[in-house]
Parts: sequence; structure tokens; C-alpha cells
Amino acid sequence: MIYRIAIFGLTGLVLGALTALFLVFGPTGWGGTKIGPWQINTLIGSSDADAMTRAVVARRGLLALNQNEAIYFSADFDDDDRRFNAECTYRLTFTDPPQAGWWSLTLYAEDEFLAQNGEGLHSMTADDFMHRDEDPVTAIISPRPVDGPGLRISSAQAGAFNLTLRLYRPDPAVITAPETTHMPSIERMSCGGAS
Amino acid sequence: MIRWLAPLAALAIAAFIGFWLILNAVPGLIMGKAMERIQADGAQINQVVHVTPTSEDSRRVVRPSPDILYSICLYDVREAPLDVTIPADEDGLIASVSFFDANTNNFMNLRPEGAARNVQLGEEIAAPTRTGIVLYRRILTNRVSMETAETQRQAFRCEAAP
Repeated sequence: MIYRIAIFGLTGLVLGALTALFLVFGPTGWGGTKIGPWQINTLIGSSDADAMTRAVVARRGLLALNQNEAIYFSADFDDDDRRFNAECTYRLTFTDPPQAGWWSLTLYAEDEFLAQNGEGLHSMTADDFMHRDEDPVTAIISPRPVDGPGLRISSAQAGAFNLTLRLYRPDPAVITAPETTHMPSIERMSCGGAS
Repeated sequence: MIRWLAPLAALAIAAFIGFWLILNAVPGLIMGKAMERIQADGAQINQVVHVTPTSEDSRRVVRPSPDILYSICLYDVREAPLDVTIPADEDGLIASVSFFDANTNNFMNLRPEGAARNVQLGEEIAAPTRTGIVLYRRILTNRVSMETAETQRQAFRCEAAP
């Protein structure tokens, strides 16, 4: 009997550990509130974060700031819930600028680092937004240059990429009621020649 | 059936323990690994390293921002507190000095305000763990040249208190 309990106990320990590793290094997202394709967890960086949030943040966003200084919106899917694909072209539409002292939108490759494509087009910031003479402001995410003068972020060599919108010194309303924040829409325009 | 109850209970309890242990160990392990990598690049404990502006070749810490200039201090307050210099607020633009413990918690953020000032980690600011990271971030905007931002971040310092 004791032998059986020991075997089952050991098996349980391994299963529990493997499950935790699978979730942290596998499919688990940031958790928190969903706004369209965007997800925000205001506990990121906080000592109040639950163990799963802290582990996922350690893997995907080490040294993330707590909400007093910055908050992070993250997207892995477009408006129609399709996983981002580096070979597709997307249009981001900002009906309003993000409500913060400063912000930036960065594209990260599947490996959580900047895509190694030699283009240097990894992000757009509040500065870019201010200098756009269009309403609403739009940006294109595409693996190749596109016609027109619009802002472009390159997805070349990025695989199933992620978009992260950092809001530094966010307006208090964004923290207390993130679901009311006006987030940019993410529309897939075409994919490998097909829409 | 009854003879299986105790083994199944052992399985469930052990699975929970294994899950919980790994979940709580991961942040510390990842943080430790990141600190090792930064040290392998030449960083010394309790000294500032002004990190090269972020590019697609920056691969020490996940998700670096290409629009932010980083300086980093790996701290160890076992022997003595850490003196940290917060740079002056030169132009009203966003910069911050953030403190992270060994479990990845961001337990303090300080902003440049007026003149440069000193704070002491391990005394004035309690350190939840004896080791961790102090990180200076300076946003890069069109309003300030890279040269100016580079000069300003040189004022960020950390060293063991005498």
C-alpha cells in the first residue's frame, strides 16, 4: 500500500510540475481584461499578482513595470480572432490616441524579441501619431513595403507575432476602467495574396 | 475501490504541490538566468551598465523597447546598502528608475524630479530580496537627440554604500 501511495505521489508531483511548465511556457496569455483583440492585466509587475501571472510575465515580459508607471496591452489575434501571421497585412486604426503621458506600439516576433529582418521598423510611438495628418490615424503591419505614405511596422521574419502597446504614466481611468479604453482595431487586409 | 483512495489522494495532493512549486520557482529562475546573462556581458554587481540602444540584436531580456534607452544595475545588498542616484529632470520627458526584486516584482518606481538625488536601497527603501535589478528607462522622442539622452543617463549611478 505504501509503495503504491509513493508511486502515485511521485507521478502526481511530476504531472503537476509538467502541467505548470506547459501552461507557463505554452499557451497561457497575460490574463486580465479583454478589449477586442487586446488584453490587459493591471497586476503585471505587482507583488499582488497571482503566481500564474507572475510566471507568465517573467517568461514573456521580464522587468515589466507596475501600473503606477506603465501598463501594457497585448494582442496575439486580429479583430476576427485569427492568430497574427507574419505573411499577412494588417491595418491598425486609432480612433483616439492612447490616454497616457507617452506610448509606444511594438511588434515582437514569435520568440518574444524584435524581429530580425534588417528593416528597423519595429514600432510606432506617440511622436509618430502627433505628426500624422489623417483622421483616424492608421498604421500598416506588413512583411513587405506597401504603397502609400502611411506608417508601417514590418512583420518580416516575425512568425506568429505579438503587438504590445505600452502606456507610460497612463490616465487613471485606463487603470480603473480599462474596458472603456479606446483601443486600435486590427483588421487583416490580405494574407499571401488572399483576403 | 477503497484501496485506491489513498493513492489517488496522494496523486492529487502531489500534483497540486508540484504545480505550485514550479509556478512559484519560475520567476526567480528566469530572473536569475537574466542576471547571469547580463553579467556574462560584463556587468558588475552594484555598478551601472549603460545598455547599447535597443536593436533587433538585443536578446538578453525579452521584449526590449526600441524607443527606450536602458541602463541597468544588478544589485546585491547582502554586504551593504546600495546608493542609487536618480538623474535630474532635465526636460520634463519621461524617465524612471525602477526596482525589481529577485522574484520579478517591481517594488518601487522613482521619477526624476528637479535636481538629481540619492536614495539608498536596503535602508531608506526596503529590499524585498537581497539581489535584484535597478533599471533606468529613458524614452527616446523627437524632442531630444540621442546624444542628449545619452548624456542625461550617465547621471544614473549605483554603488555599494561605504
